[in-house]
Amino acid sequence: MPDIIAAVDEVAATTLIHDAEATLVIPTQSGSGSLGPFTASWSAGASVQQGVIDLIPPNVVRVADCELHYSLGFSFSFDLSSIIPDFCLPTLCIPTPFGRWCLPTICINWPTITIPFNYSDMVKFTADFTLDVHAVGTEWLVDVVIVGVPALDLSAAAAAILAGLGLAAAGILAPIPFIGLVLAGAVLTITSIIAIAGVTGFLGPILSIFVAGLRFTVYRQQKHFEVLPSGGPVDPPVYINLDAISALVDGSGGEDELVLSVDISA
Amino acid sequence: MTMLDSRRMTYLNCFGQKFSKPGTYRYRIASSSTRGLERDARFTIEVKPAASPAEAQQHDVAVRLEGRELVADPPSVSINAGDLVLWNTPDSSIAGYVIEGEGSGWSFSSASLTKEALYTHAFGLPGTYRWLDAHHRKLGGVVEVVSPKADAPESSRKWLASLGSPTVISIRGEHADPERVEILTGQTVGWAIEEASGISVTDASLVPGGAAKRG
Amino acid sequence: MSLTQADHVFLGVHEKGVNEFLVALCTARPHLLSYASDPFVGATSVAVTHMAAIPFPGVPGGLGWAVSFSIPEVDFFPQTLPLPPQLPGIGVGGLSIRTKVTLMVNCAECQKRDREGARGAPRDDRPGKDVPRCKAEPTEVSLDVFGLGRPVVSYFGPGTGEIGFRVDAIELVDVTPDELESLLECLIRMVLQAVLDTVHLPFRALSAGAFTLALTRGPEISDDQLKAWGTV
Repeated sequence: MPDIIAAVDEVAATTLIHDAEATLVIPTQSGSGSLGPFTASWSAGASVQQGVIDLIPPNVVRVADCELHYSLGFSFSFDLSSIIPDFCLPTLCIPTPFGRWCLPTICINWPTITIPFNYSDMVKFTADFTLDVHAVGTEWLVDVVIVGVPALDLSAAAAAILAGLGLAAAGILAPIPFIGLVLAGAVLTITSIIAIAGVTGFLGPILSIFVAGLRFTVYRQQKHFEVLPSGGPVDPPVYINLDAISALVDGSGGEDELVLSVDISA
Repeated sequence: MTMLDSRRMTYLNCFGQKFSKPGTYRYRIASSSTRGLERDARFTIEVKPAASPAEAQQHDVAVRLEGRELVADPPSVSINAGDLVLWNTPDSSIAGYVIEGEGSGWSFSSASLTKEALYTHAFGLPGTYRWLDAHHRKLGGVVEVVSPKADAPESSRKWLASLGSPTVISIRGEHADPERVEILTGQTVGWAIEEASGISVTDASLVPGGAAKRG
Repeated sequence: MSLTQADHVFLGVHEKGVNEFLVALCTARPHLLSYASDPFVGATSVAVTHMAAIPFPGVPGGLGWAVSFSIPEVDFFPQTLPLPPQLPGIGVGGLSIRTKVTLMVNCAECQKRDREGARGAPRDDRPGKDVPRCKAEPTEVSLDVFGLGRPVVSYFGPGTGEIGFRVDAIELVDVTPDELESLLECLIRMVLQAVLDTVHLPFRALSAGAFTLALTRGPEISDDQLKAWGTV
C-alpha cells in the first residue's frame, strides 16, 4: 500500500481543476493567417476558466463547457483598387477674365489600406484530459493533459467579427478623398469577400493553438519535500523524499475519485 | 492628406499662369520638403511675341518624378505672348511641390500668386474649408463641401455630372468674390487671381493663428 | 465504498509513512528525544535539550541526569508488531508505540576533606575550609518501552492543523521488583507523553502538499492507516 493516499471526488476535483486553470499562464501567440482572400497578421492571448468536471476511470478527467477567454488583435492590408475601380474626374474648363482654362483629367488611384481590428470573446468547449505524472528537474508534477483538439463553435464570434470589421473598414475608408458614394459599397465588398467562412477559417486555427496540448498542473511539489520549516536555531527544517507518485481515476468504490498515491522516505 | 494649399501642390491641384510678356522664362520645380536645396531653374518657357491678336492657347506641363527629382514634361515649351501654361501632376504619390520662376523682369510662383494666375483644387472630402492667404492674412473665404445624396441612382448620375462644373472665385487685390461657396464632394474650385500682391490659397488651419482670421 | 465517502477529500497515511515522517523529524531535530542537565550538557542544541539539574542538599550542582528515546515506531490497528503480554493489544482505532529509553544519572561520590593538622590535635574550625571533593561517573540503563495510544488532532482552521499522539499505557519488560517497574512506567509514561507532545505532523505534510484539508472527520485509524476526511 502507498505511504500516502490522497483522494478527491468530483466536487473537490472541480476546485483543484479550476485552481489549476487560474494559475495556468498561456503564452501569447502571433502569426499570420488567411482572412478570406487577405493575409492578416495577428497576435492573441487566452486564458481558461470554469468547466464541469467528470472523472472517468481509469485516467480521464472530462471538462465540459470549459471557457476559453481570448483576446485577438489582427490587421490586414490590401490595395483598395482591387475592389473599387479607379475613376477619373471629368475634364472641366474654367472661364476667367484672363483666359479659358481646361483642366486635365484627374484620376483617383485608390490607396493601399490597412484595417486593424481587436476582438475579445469567450468560447466554450468540452474535452477529455488524461493524467500525466512526471518529474521535471527536482519536482514532481501531476498534469491533466487535453486529448486531441476539441471542436470550437465560432459561428457567433465570426458574425460579430465580420460586423465589427465592416465598421472598422468604414472608419478607415471614410477619410480617403473621393471615397464618397462608393464607401458603403466598398465596405459591403470587403465584408462579402471575407464572409463568415473567411473569419471562421481565420479564427479557428488561432484558437486551436491555445487548446491543442492544453495542460493544467494539479500537483507540483519538490521531490525533497519540506515537511516543517525552520523553527529556530535548534529546529532546522524537516524534509522527506517523495520517491514515487502515481495518479489515476478510481471508481471501484462506487464513486469516481481522483486518487494520488505517494511513497516517501526519510 | 491632400490639404488645400497652393504652396504645396498635389495631383488634386492645377497651377496656371498667363504669359503676356515675351521673353525667356526659367523656372524650377521644388519639392515642398526640400525647398532651398533644389537645383538651378532648368525648365524654360520661351514666350514669342504674338504675331497678331489670337485666341490664347493653353500649354500643359506635367510634373513627374524621375528618380528622386521632380521634372517638367516637357522641360521646355515655346508659346506666344498671351498664352496660358498649366502645370499639373498625374502622380498621386508626389507629396507636394511648388512652381517658381522668373524672366522678363517679373517672377511667378504657385506659392505666391500675383497676376493672371489660376489655382485649382478638387475637394474629395466633405467639410467646411476656411482658406486664407498665408503671406498677408488679409484675404480669405470659405468653401463648404457637402456630401451628395446617395439615396437613388439618379442622385449618382447628377453627382457625376456635377463633377464637370467648376466653381470660380475671383481674386482682385484683397477681395475674393464670392467669399463663400458651396459645392458637392468631388467638385473643383478655381481661384482666378486677376491681380494680387503675391498670395497663397491655404487652409486656415495651416496658417499659425489663421483659424481666427477672416473667412 | 469510496475513499471520500460522504466527504469530498480523503487523506490516508500508512503507518510506514508515519514512521518515515518520525524518522525524518527526529533525525533533523534529535533534541526532541534527548534531554540532559549539567554537567552532561550546558545549553540546548540541535542534538539535545538542556534541562536543570535536580537540586539536592549536599550534592554540588544538583543531581545531573539525562533521558533520551530512540526514534519511536508506531503500529496502527490492526496490530502488526508483537506487544508484551501485559498489554491488551491495539484496540480499534488505536496504535502502539515502541521505543527504547535510556536513563542516565551522574553518579557522584563526594567526601568532605579533613582539615590539615597533627593527629589528635583539635580541628581548626575556621569557616571555609570544609570543601567536599567529588568523583562522578555517569551511570545509565536502557529499557525497551511499549505503549498503547491514539492519535490526536489540533485544528487551527481550514487547511491548517496537525496530528500528534497520546499515550494511554506503558509497559516496561522484566523490571523487578514490580513496584520499581510501576514507578518507572509512570515516570517514563509522563516523560514520553511530554516528548510526544512536541512531535506534530502537519496536514500539509501528510497530504504531501496535494491540497489544503478542511477537516470534517477524523483522524481515525484503521487498515494500518491514519485517515482523515474533509473538503478542499
